[in-house]
Amino acid sequence: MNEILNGLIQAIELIVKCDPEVMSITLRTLEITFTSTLIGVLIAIPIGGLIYFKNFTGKRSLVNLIQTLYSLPTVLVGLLVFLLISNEGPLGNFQLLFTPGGMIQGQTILILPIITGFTITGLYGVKSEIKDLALSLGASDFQTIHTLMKEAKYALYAAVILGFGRAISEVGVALMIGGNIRGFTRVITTTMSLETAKGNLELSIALGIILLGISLLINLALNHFQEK
Amino acid sequence: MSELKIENINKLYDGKLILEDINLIIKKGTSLGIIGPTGCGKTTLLRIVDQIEMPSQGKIYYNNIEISKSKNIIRDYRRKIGMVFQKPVVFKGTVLENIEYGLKIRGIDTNSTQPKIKELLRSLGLEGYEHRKASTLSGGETQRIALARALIIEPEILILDEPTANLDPLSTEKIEYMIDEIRKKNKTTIIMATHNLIQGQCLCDEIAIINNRIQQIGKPEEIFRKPENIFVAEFVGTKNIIKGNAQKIEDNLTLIRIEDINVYSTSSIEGNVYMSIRPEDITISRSKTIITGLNNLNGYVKGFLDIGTFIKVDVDVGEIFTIYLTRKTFFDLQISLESNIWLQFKASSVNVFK
Amino acid sequence: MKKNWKIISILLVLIIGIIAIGAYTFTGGNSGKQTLKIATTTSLEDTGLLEELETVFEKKYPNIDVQFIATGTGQALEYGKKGDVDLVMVHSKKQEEQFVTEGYGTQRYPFAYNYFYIVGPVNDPAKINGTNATTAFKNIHIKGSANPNKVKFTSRGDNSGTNIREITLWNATGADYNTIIRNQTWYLESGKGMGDTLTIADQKSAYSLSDSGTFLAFEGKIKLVPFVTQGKELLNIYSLIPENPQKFPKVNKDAGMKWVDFILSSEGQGIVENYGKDKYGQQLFIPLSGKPEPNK
Repeated sequence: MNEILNGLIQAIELIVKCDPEVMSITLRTLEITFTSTLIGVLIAIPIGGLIYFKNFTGKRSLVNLIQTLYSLPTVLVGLLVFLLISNEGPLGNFQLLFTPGGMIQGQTILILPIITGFTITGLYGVKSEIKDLALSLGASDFQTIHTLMKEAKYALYAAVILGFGRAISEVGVALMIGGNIRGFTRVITTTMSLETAKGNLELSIALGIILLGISLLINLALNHFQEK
Repeated sequence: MSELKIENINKLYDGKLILEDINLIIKKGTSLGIIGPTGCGKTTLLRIVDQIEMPSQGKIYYNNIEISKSKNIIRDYRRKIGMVFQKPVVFKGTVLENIEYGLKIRGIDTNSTQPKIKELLRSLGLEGYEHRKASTLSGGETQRIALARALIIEPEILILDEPTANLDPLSTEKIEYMIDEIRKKNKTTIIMATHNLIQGQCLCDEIAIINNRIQQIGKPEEIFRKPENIFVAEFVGTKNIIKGNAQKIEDNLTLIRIEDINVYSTSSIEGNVYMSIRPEDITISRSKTIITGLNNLNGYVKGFLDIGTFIKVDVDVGEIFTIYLTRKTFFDLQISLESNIWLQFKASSVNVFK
Repeated sequence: MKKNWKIISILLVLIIGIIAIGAYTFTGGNSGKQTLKIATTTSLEDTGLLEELETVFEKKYPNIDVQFIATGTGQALEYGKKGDVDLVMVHSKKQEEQFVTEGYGTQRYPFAYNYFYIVGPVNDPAKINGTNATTAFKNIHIKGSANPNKVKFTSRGDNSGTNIREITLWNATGADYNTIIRNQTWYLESGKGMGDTLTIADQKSAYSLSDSGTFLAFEGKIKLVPFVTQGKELLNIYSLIPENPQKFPKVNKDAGMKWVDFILSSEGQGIVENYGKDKYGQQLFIPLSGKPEPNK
């Protein structure tokens, strides 16, 4: 009990004093996660739009598959990306293993299904009359998708936030692909796992509080958009 | 002359034929009313004309160009059409943003169109509504916005799907007034679905009664006076429909035998038929009089109902005929229950159909 | 249907490509500085020695960024066999020699040693205090089998250098590791690093085999005590092996050799020798450069 309390007090001290290690790990984590979310959004939202708009055989199965992949195990993505970008893998030439780039790749793959899936459901949430209305007013396919996305914008914000939340809280990809290199690929979750193993509880607790804070902000934002 | 031609349209939904063999030619600047009961395919037909739905079979030509050949042709064609849906729906955003949507889609500068938008809103009774949130408006106001949104692009064809169904009287009046104004300019082709016969009669040059197929098409008075089949007759509320058997007896004269009575008609249709006679074409007398009309039937009053200006009288002459009498006639002729009465009408007033 | 799958697979390839380019651009921001990637064992990383060596080295060579991937010896050598790192720093002689023989690494450079500790709960229920390693393991086996609730052993079970040494010790007692020891109820595998394994052993009052560095770093935080700390069987030699540039042309050969030279230099060896004295009140590693490998 004393240990927890002491850890907590020291952790708060670390945060309040803006401990350089805590700050640099937090910043790096945000940097990596923002980048993977950004790339994820740039890929997933257009693809989600395309899947929603186009009619093709196997569409329902594809959407089901995407929804199944929401809970894609992070270690599986870690393994997949490891095999892809390892020196002997097909993308070995990029030399991405044990780099933030590799982590971004893994996290992006991890969150693509979530953002794509929620984009599709978001678009289906828009009344079908809106699509007809846009078409009847002379919108091209592209303009129609754009209009629908504008109508579904709060659902899309929620999709992005969920993707970000999943990326920032995962540890499998970060550890397997990033290698937890100090000052380079060490992020909040991997540091917590390592420092707990090393018995440095105060650093783990400090980072845990920050991660919790970020999750809280994410959830507040999500609730804000869902109420709209 | 530019026209819209709809050729052999069929539409299947889950194996059910919703539209069957629809052929229409609509000339530029005319207005066509599509009238039929709920579920008759009105909405589907309009959606196909607007090409937001594709027919299972058949083609649409506009100015002799076949539409639906390519995406670009469809889009350009759609851009000549303004459509108002039955269910009022708006985009998120302000009234102004909603109205400007069609302009922006076409890349038209919206600065120059502001006076036009203002004028349009004014004539629809929505002056000063520009910056209101569209989703906060009532159904009637929303539908007026929808009409403004369709009109701002100055469409060559205006498609209206029951634009006033379930709306408040003020909105209905504003919308009907607007449609009439557009119609008077003879520039815009109007296709309007309605189940309101009076509205169709007032606003349309021609009316098509449809029930999956086109049952009858023509000028409104033709349809009311001379329904061509029992469906149309019943749908437009024709009175005195009686089943019988027609036989030609001389040129331009047919005898229709109906159980106990005979009716003469100038129609040339023979065999098992329906006949109808409009109540206002029947005259009455208390005693047998010599008349020019061939039909002179004797019966008694079976019942009557005071409906205000007129009194509706049911007369049994072997079949029941309904007639309308003015109050004065009713009292002058001292009509009461069981009164003996003669009905007279011209052979040419009798409408005969299969 | 067939056509759709074709489109989907093209899309997938495109997606991965876009991500790769995006990721590459991101990482490219670090260019101008070359990196030296070293796969190493958690026991070296956790003590903090590597951090200290890195700081001094990077001051000397400011354009080299040293990056450690800390894992078990087995995994570190696997990364080495794929050419994903430039150098390995591990502690399992037999595996290291095989690694070099098979052509993955150029040469083994032993640079420091210490001893594995057999640690356990203060009351020492298997009575191993003052024995040697083989006897201690034999006692744990016998007492554990007799009373599995009281006497337990926690293994890392992760194919790390420590784990490999532990298996060698079990086999030396005459009880085959795979067929006998692994199936015992008193024998627990954590599958984790040294720190976690010590924490688990502490919580369960179990014996364990630990490298001395990690144990000393944990000493104040857990109640376990060391019982057997000397002898040839517990000798723990750490080596550097640079990747073979003939097999892996992309490895950073020059930086790797600079690192080797630095560690083996008197400056590097001085850091190794003095490391831990102020932090743990005790020397953690004995320098080995220029000396024959010890045998007791």
